[in-house]
Amino acid sequence: MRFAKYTAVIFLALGVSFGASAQEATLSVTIKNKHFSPSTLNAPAKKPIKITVHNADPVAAEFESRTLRVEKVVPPGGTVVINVKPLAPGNYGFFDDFNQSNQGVLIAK
Amino acid sequence: MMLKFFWLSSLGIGAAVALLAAGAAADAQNLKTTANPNFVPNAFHEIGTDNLFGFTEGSDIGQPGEKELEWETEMSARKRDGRYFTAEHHLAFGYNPNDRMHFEVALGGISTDIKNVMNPEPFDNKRFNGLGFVSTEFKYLILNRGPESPIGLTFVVEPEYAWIDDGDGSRVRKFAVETRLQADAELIPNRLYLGSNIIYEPEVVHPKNGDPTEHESSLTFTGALSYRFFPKFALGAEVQYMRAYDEGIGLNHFTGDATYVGPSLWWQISPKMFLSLAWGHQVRGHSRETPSDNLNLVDFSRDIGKAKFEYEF
Repeated sequence: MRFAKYTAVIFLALGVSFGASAQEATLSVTIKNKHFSPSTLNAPAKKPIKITVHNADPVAAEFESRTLRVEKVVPPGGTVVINVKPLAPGNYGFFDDFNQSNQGVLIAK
Repeated sequence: MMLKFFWLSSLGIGAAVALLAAGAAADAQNLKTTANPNFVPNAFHEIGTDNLFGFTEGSDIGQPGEKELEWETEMSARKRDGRYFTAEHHLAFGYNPNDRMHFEVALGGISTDIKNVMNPEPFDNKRFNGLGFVSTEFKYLILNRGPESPIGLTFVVEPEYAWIDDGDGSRVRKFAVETRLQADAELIPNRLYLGSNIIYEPEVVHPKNGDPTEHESSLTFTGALSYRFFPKFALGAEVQYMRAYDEGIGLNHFTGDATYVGPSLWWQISPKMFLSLAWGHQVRGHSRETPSDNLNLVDFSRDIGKAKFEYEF
């Protein structure tokens, strides 16, 4: 009886946590002709976010954001995946550190 | 029993499915990306404040996975009389293992050029250039400045072991632990920054010449403003108030204080290279040993300076 209870509770916890983790939001952005496309990303606040960055240019880029706590080099033609922790509502700027005029913003609502 | 198990498990699976569905709906609703033709890049994009202020250090620690090499020189010059110049040089390697922590190890050199200095007791005339200490640094980012918090806050611990005294170039065995609380805020986003540090440093010094062991400590409060006149260039002003204590490492016996003011400069040479310069001039001080003076040139020097070069990779 006790074993069944514990097992059921574990299943419940696993189920809920699996459901919660599956709530991760996904975003994609491409660097092409030295510009982020799109340059504005909208995402839900207080949820983990996965950002896929594809670099379509023939030179390396570096996706960086101080407020998002991210810095990743994206090789020419390459793709990187960036995991961002749940965010408070607000605007989070990002830019290409190898070409700092290339900028964008992630809006968490 | 099995029924209960079934219902509870079903409840878990049901909750997972419901959350999945809710999540998918929320994602579908919220993850609209827009080309936003109105988006205008800002030449004054966000920067890290770690080196922006000069002596005062900002709360930023760099990004996860970032490595850095840095060269830093802090110098002190001029006492009441004679010639007095000392400098500490750090060559450090730093690494951020995650988004909250920064570790650093440093090898340090010391330069001294001292001649005919009475403090009020005479200093040994000495010229020295060589290795003098090793240190490590651990930073923990408590609050990340941004939409989550208007203030950035970082706690820093920097233990150091020295075999040359940076104050007079004598041979010693010295242990010191500098602890700092570093805070900052953006008064005008991406343009005007305010920084402040509280620094407590206890130290134990065993002189090699047979003199008794010294237990000392100091407490420093700093405040700084820095304005970005250009995207890669900032000028600022700083105030530092320092208090010195002896007879123990716990701020035991106050021996004197000093206030410094001076300018600072920050220059981003390239996306990964930074230079910062700062100067402090003692404008007011008080020493228990020379109470009639309105400067404290016993515990502190007349001028202090700092130069830092950093390369990130």
